[in-house]
Amino acid sequence: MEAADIARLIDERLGAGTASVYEDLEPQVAIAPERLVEACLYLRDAQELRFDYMRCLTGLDLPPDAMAVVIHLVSTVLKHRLILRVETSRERPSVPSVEGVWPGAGWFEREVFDLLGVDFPGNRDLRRILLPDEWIGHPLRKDYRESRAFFNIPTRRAESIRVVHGSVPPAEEG
Amino acid sequence: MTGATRIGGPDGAIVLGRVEEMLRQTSVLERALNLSRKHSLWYYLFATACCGIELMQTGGPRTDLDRFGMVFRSTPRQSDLMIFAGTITYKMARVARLLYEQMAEPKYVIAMGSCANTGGLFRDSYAVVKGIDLFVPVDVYIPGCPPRPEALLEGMMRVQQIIQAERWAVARPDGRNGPERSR
Repeated sequence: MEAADIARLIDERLGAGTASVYEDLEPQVAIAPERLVEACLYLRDAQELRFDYMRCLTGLDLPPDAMAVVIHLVSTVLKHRLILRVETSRERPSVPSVEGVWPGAGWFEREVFDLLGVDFPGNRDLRRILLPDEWIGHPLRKDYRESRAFFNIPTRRAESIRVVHGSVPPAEEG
Repeated sequence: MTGATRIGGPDGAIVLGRVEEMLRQTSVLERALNLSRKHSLWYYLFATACCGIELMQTGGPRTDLDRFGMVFRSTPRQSDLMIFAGTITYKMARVARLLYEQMAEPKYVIAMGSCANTGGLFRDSYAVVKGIDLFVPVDVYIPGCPPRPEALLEGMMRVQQIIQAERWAVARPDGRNGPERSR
């Protein structure tokens, strides 16, 4: 089933205007954040869709004022796939968690939170997953600036390695 | 004499009370001590990236570190040498520094490969340390991406040279016990 057909099915079930087709390299179905969870439950449970496998959940930083979460779905039963796109504001990026729909989404959401700073209300354990807990900022944001030092380690090399020639005397016998 | 040993010398006897005194008097013993230390250079298995594969290969039968008395240890507490084989992230640096601090003096560090030297290929990453000498003192840098086993062996033999050149009789500027390095 194609993205346009699925967007029409979602509209029929959840009301016109819920889903729209976002044209890209592969057509995607765009959904507003506040309708995401019910749409995902429908996509998972409807007999004609049966998206039982969430393959990937990732995030996009789209300056100056948008962020997006992209969810790749696969139906292992009906052998079709779908890309969902949820846009949110860049000021306070927040997308409801789909961990309750596909439990595997939990750690994907933690990664998007870690690197892009998107909030996922409903996620049971929204902590950093890759970076240390003490990290400041979200490094995959386009305007991320590295701090001068981390754990007292400078983040920049002031000079190249100073090779001291002859610091080691020639090997002795033995 | 009470408990001290007398050995003969050209201008009479040398009284040996403490080991330090003995070392102060005879450079032959110093050399013998360094010789035995450099031929039991136990290195800590610490591999964070592809350099670790070359490290394993260097311990294998072709390069055969065993013939130099170099064997790997799985704990820093039994190791003399720490080889940073691979990329170090800030998250790992905290752990690596803790492991380094667990090693007993005298201890030595090799920065193996471009990543450990300067961050290498990944130096533009927000997560990678731009050279391990930013958080531990390094004795030998080995260039390469990754260095061949021959290069690592050369670096380890450089550490042997450092050990052989150490003087036990010289007081260390930091006031601690052990050999002064000729760096």
